[in-house]
Amino acid sequence: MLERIALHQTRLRTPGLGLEGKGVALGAKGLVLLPSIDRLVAWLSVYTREHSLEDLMPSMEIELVRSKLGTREITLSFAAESSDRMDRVAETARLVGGFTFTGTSRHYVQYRDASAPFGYDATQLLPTELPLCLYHDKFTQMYEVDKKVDLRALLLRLMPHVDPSTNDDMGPRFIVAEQGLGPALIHYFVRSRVEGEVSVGEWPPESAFDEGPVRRYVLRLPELPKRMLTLMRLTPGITTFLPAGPGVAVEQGYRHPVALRACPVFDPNGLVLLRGRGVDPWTLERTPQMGDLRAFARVELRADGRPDALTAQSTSRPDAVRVPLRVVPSPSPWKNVTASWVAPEQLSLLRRLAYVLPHDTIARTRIAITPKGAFLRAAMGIEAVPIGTFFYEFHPSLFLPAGYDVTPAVAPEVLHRALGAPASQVLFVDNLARAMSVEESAFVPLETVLLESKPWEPVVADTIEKALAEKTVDLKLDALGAFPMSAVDPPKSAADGG
Amino acid sequence: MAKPDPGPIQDVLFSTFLAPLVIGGPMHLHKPIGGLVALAMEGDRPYPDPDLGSHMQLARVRIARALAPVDRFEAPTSAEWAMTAVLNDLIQSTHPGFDAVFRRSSPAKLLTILDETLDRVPACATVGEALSRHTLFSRVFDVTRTDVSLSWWTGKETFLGTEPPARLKAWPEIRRVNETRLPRTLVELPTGGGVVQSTSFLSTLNKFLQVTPLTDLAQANRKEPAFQWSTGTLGLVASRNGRTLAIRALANLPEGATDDALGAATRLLVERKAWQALGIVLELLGERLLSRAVRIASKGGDATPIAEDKDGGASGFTRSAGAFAAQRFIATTGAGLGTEERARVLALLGPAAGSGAGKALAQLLGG
Repeated sequence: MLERIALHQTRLRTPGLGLEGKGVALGAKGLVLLPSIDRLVAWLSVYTREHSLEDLMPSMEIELVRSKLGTREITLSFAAESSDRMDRVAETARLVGGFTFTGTSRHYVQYRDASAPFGYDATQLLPTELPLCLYHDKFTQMYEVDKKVDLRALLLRLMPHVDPSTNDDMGPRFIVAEQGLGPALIHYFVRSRVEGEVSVGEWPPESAFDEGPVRRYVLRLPELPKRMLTLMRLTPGITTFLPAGPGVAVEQGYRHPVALRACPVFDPNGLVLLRGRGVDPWTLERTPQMGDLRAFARVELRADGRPDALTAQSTSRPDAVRVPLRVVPSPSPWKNVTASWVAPEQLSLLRRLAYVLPHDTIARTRIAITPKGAFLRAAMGIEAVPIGTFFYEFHPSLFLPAGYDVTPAVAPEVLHRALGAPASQVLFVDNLARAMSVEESAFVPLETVLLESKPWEPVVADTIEKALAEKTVDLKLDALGAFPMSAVDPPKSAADGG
Repeated sequence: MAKPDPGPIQDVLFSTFLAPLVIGGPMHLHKPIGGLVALAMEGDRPYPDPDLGSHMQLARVRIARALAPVDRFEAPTSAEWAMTAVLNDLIQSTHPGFDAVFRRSSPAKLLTILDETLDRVPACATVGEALSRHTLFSRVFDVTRTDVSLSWWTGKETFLGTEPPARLKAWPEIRRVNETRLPRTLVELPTGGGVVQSTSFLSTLNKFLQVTPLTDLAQANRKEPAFQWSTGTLGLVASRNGRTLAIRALANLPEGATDDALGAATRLLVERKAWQALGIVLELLGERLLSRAVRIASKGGDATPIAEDKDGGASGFTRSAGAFAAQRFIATTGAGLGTEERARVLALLGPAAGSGAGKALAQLLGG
């Protein structure tokens, strides 16, 4: 019932079918017939990887249709507009096992393919009252519409896939904490100087046994320190979501099958939090008022009845409350050993060792030579250079001897701050708690300092050659203008006194 | 008719055309100037950009010192300005913009005017003047226009001497942008999008080279327009100093191609029976071959004699005629060589001098 459209053919039988500028048969609408809902999801997944649905959305309709035989299939219709758009859609449909049609109201013919580059026309139209009649070179089928499928509802029903690679993703994120955990989490962030905003969302009770609405804290953080990623992921009652588009976020550790950023169906002013494990998403129609995290820092007031301010009677040196730092042996296994200190008397050994070190070790090791010896650092591990005192990284700028720990057991940041070294200094604390600092810029690749410098003679040939090099005469043409020959006059003849 | 004021044109021409011609870099053409204005240009004009001017003068000295120990040059003379304007118009005649309705005949008219103008440009009065002109126009054959052919997924376009807009080169991988750059030398410009007749263009270019004879000789090995002896080049090589400069200029060129060019041009003199001019040219060829033979002899060992003229080609003609003239030069002046050295040089020249044109010349001159 279909015939191929020939080149320069102008007359078509199918109502509503016309020829666009390139000669391709095109109706007002395009239609993709998909055998099942999972094929529709596959189509959405493939299409949104490369293109946005934004231009299709205003006219896009997804319908569940039923044929006379009772089979149910899915149609996805949209404004055809151009063969470029139709080609894109058809290509994706072909990949997922769908068929592409074009038409205007009821009769849709197969869209062009490799065997008919200008498309198809129906030679004979079926008399029918049904709303959809599809003509394909393999079949002709009539359908009635069963129901419409809402894309937003479909996307919300799709379960995100487990994807551990998102666990290490950095960038902005939403954290939802149960009501009891919220204040503690906020204070933890305030103490750790993590910037962000917080609001409280209310959801309807999950069952009739609940007393009132469920409140949860919703935090929006532009950046979460890397060390907190695991804590946020593994703590029960805290769920981390990564933004997947305007107004929608997916739980960390999961990935939505469709690229949500390409589907503008979510209200940017609201928030939809898609959760893994098949549980229902959390939806907020309107994002509640958010406040700066710092505004929720714990406030403590002095006890009543005490004077507003104490006036000192005399001044004296305050008692010292600080305790000295001690470095004590630690039973925990060595890890992160990335630096070593080679004392001056061992430097000759290091020199001899340089002849047997493999290239990889030499290339990735950095060294700083100081009067107190050489400090070596290698991010992948320093054990390959088997001399000196090994240090492990306690803080990016602070190293402690391997097998030792500090007491009192303070946080790395605290210890680093207490030592008061500027950020450009790398600190090495030995087992007697003596701190040595080395300028970060003093560390240079080992391979650049390994070889003794040989006497050399500057060769100036290149410089001279460069100085003598002539630039090419590069002719650039400008427009001739309106009257290029207007100023051209022949020379005066000799008779005229020229 | 009001007297044309060429001053502003000279200033623009200096910055966009003359200085790039000497120094190198991007060169932009002035709108066609014509003969009247070209010949009205005044010499010794101060440079509008003193820095660029001193840079150009330095470059001129550098070009000159490859041939002669000169330390400075004066600012371009009126004749040199006129030649600059002519060269501008000559290159402008190849502009693809003339390929339009009511314009196609303009390049031919322009070339006619240029020929007339070049007739009025005075020939070099001194060797210094020839050297000065050479420093300005020595790179005339280096003028190169880069044509860009750009193709992308839905079309293609060619840009003659202009850069394609950035929007056409955007997203090169997605739009499958393919860019081909084709450099076109000066003599290829008429066939590269212009409407001017190639033969007329080359004829005017040849005429231009005649008024800068040292440049003409220094580019003798060019393919087009083929080198020909002219009044200017003959006048230059007729003088002792001019001949020295010419020999030095020719020494910088590939030997074989230069022998071919000089041989073809000298044969024309023989065919026209221009004996006086031939005498001048033979002196040049003789000195050139003599210096070649002395150079070979100074290497010691078993030196290979200068090849004789076996096939009667242009190159062989130059060698045999030059060897013959060199032999006569040694016989009459001794050429400042000792007895032993003279014998070695004569032995090197002998086979070439006794073959082809050398043999004919010996018979012609009776000895």
